[in-house]
Amino acid sequence: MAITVPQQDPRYDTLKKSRNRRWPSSEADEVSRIELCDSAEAAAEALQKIVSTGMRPTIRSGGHCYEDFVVNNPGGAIVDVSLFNRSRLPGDGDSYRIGPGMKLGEVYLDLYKRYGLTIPAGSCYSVGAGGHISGGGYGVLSRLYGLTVDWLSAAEILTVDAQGKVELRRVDKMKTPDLFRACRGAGGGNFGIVTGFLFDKLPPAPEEVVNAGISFDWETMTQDRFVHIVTAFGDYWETRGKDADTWGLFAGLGLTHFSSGGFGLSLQFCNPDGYCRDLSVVRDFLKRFERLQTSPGHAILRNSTVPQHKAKRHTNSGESALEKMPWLDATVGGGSFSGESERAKYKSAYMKKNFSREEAECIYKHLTRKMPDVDLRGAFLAVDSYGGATNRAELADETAVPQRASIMKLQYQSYWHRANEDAGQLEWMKRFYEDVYSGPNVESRYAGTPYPGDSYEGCYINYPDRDMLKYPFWPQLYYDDKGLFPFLQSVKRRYDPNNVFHHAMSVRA
Amino acid sequence: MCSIMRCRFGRKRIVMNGNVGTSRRTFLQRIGSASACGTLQGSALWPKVGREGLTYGYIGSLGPAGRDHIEVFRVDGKRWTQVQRVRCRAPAALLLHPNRQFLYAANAVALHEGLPQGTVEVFSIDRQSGTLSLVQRRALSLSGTEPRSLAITPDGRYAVVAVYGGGAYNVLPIQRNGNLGEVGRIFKELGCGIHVAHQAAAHPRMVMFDRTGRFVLTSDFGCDRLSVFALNDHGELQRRSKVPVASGAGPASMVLHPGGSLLYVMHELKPTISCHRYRQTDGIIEDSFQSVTLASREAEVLVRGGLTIDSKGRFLYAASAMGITALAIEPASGSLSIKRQSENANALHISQDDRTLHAIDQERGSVSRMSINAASGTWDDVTQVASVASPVSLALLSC
Repeated sequence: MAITVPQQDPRYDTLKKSRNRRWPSSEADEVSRIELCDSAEAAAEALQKIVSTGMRPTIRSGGHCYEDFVVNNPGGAIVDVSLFNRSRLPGDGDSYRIGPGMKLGEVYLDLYKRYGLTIPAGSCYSVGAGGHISGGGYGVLSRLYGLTVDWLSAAEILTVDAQGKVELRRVDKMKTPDLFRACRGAGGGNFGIVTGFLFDKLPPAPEEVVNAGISFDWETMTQDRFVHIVTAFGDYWETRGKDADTWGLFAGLGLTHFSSGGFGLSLQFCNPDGYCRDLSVVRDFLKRFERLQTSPGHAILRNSTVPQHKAKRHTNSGESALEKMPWLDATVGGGSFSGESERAKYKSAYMKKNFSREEAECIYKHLTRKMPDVDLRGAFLAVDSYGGATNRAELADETAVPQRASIMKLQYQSYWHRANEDAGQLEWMKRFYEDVYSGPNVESRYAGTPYPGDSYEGCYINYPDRDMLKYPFWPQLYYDDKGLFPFLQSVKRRYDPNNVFHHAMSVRA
Repeated sequence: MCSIMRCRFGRKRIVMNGNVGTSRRTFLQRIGSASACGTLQGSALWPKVGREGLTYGYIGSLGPAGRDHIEVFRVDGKRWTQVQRVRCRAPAALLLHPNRQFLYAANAVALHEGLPQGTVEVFSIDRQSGTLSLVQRRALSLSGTEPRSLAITPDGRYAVVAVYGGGAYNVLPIQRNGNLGEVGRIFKELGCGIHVAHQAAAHPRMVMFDRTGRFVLTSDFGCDRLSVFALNDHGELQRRSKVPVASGAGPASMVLHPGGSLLYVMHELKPTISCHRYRQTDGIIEDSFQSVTLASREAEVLVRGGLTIDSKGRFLYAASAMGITALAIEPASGSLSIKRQSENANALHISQDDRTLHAIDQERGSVSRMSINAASGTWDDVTQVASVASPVSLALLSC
């Protein structure tokens, strides 16, 4: 049975909020209650009660949704499955089960300790599995092992039928394959409440990894050197990085705003056998940047590669050796890296080619731009390596993740504390983003966006960005223009005909 | 606007009895139905002021190339003089505030600023000229697309909107200046019907208050259901009762007998009118005691129409696919008998003195006036009083 937290409950003020402190937008947008569920039965009961009384349910697992999709729900109810964190049910016949409320860090620990296995999921360890896997599930091991949904064998999901009856379904390739495919990356809050992710097999966790990084000072940075760094990074993934022996290398450029003082490159590496006996791949990679450094030597990142976190947390210059460490320690040993809750904004883009000089110069321009009265020390562009095992083209038709040809994945991020900074922060990122994607390689009708084509492959649904709604082709940005979105619309019509599950960027039938 | 137009024209063709209705025609006729008439329910609640002849007419129009608008006319008997044309997106329904100072238009759009939301536009009315000024465009709830009907509490505190596309009802507070506050409450409907093309989900089609003003009566086209909701002082809707209608009927327009205890419902998938007893003491609609078939054959196109009733409760007028039908109401039982059918129309308005019936015909682009024979309830003459492109809704304000 769910724990109901109404507005009168002392817990309500804490639980009504998103990690992104921009939401709920106003008191009028707040939910009327939160239903804390620790089982599929509790979630089903709570969901039935919600829909039967005409309320709108939204779903929360880890609470990391970037946009307002969950907590902006005027008078509605949040079905919070964060307590539903069992990793397996002994004797139920499934090899591996991940509950939607499990945090990624818990998943890594659990799978490693029980089985020596892992999932190729994200590096922010307080992210909940429910939302993360529903949107694809991508992370440090994705070049080596692909996306988490590439491994998914079945899902259990609560849907609401046309008459309003809640139904628990188990979906897989044989049974309800359409809904199963939609559960493999279309994004959360679209079709129902996932109550279990099931895996017949999972990849082995690496035994050891090397974490390393390089710091660059903004003080001595020039545009020309910046362009060299960025294009050297992209060149690797466009060329050498496509070779299978490099798929164990994951790297990220944390291109912070100049006001932060410096930016960095960080990496994690292991060979495909899960060990680091031969480090030639990583040495070759780092060598490409040595002549571009001004800070001394390599910077070792002991806790994590943390490619998606703030650069202020991962510049640790001064050490020069590559350091091996157990994969588990590198992954979860240093803490969650979840950070405190702040106001934030995100955008994303997949890149199929290296940065052009124009793009790199555009990035430099905006990272060195001053905005009066706007503190941009928490603003940066995370450029992560992609490709490798994620680019098995046949998986585009099996899953709901169409991006299978990219070499880099970009996440524009900014964090700040005060609401009165919202407009300035949002404006900076908007202009930055639109400027980058308005170059000669972007068709005029798609200007301002990384529309799928020769250069780009759209955006990542787990980094949703409401700004894209102004484009009538926004679904194609996230789901490509080769038929996936119409497919998802058909799934929506079939399994959620009354559009019970919706948010600003949900699939509209 | 382009995306809105795509939505309009993107509807599938409908085949009934082997005939094909065009997508635009279908949409237009769907939009021009049910609660399109702005004074049907309000007139019974407002004090009667003046005589027919000192009136302003507001006609919602789906103009070409998305140039939707409201045309404002000064009405002097059979003489309608256009005084204004004001932009208004897909004005599916027009409704006057009880204080007669504001006109509300339900905009049956699927997108608003990139989000799946319909809107309601608020216009202030110049008391001297009857002209409109847009004062607000209020977004409905997320997924609150294609609103088709709205009702205002007798005290003017809340507006209730039937969200056809989104399958929900929205409640919005009305401020003293007529503006709408943010959507305060949402009631999400669930259900479906047997008509695969049109009843895959709930589609609230009309909302109206009963004579007591305590309860909201609703029709749901998508799931063949009538409901009664109580609206409390906090603007919260709670369902009091619901009753199914004939499967696949597609209930739409409704009207209450002046006595308040008889409800007539027009169905658009099956062109019939069902008659129900309504218990206004506890907000319960009973099962139909009569169903009157308006057409001996199914309609060529899917839907059209509206209902109105004279002030004494003697005659009911229905605009349907078969034209305007006059029906006599048997005083004791409330049952109906057809008196006459003729003239095309999508929405109707009867004057407060029961002597004049106004009708809009979307297909012909006309506004017509008929003089009602008090004894028979039928009409002797028909005069086209105005030409309006694709009229879909009307409201008349007597000053």
